[in-house]
Amino acid sequence: MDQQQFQKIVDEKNPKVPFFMNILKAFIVGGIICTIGQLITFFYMRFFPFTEGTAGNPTVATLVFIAMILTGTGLYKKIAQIGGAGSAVPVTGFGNAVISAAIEHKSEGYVLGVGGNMFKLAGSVILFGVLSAFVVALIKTILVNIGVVSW
Amino acid sequence: MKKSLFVFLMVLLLGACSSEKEKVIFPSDNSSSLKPIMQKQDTIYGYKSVINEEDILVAININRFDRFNKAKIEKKITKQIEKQFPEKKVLVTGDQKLMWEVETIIEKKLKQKELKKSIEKIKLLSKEET
Repeated sequence: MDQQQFQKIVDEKNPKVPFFMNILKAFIVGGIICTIGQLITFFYMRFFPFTEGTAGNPTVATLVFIAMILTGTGLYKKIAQIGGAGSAVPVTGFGNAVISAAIEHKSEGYVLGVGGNMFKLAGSVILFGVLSAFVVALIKTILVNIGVVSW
Repeated sequence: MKKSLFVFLMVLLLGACSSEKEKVIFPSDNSSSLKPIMQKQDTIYGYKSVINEEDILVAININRFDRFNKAKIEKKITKQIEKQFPEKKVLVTGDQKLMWEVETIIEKKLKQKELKKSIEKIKLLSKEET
């Protein structure tokens, strides 16, 4: 039996991946998370002096905070089992990545374990965000000073 | 259970379809020359406007898919109004928050002094960046 034959048998025996159902579930779970985010945005706009443009920042912070608490209590795991990418792609996935890494390395101690590994997964996201924001702001500042565009 | 879910979905679907069209100018007595400008805009489905001696505030409801051009639409309407009222400061906004603030002014029917205060507050809000 060569490799191709073996691969054929494996493909036959493996259960089929329910692509369509996975996509549908991810769509629904991601949609629910985003709807909650929109409701939080409206909450901040209604009761605090935030406009449509500025309410996004506290909304993101709130969503990440909620996701962190849900991860700590083990509920986010269940949501992720149903939703898959639908629960990982919105900003809540970021909170999940931070806290789950912290929980995983708790046994190695608080400094070297939790502190050292907390941002292993999410740290690159923060670094990339801060650096790209800095570069974009730098370009915009230069363009404004030259007089090409205005703020 | 299934029946209640069905009823809930029906309410949700039907509720989403009814968009109330509201076109209000406050106070209504000096609305004559602002109305035709707003009337001919085809990218918005509603507006609420407040006018006093110095300022014109217009909060607009932009059509769902025209929202991608929000800034352009705001600029265009601002220019048209400025042409009509060269002596006034014009602020046109598609922001939902400012729409709500304008609505509270209209609901409370604010008079001179309070009106000016509220308008200043809205203008400050519209400049908010943080």
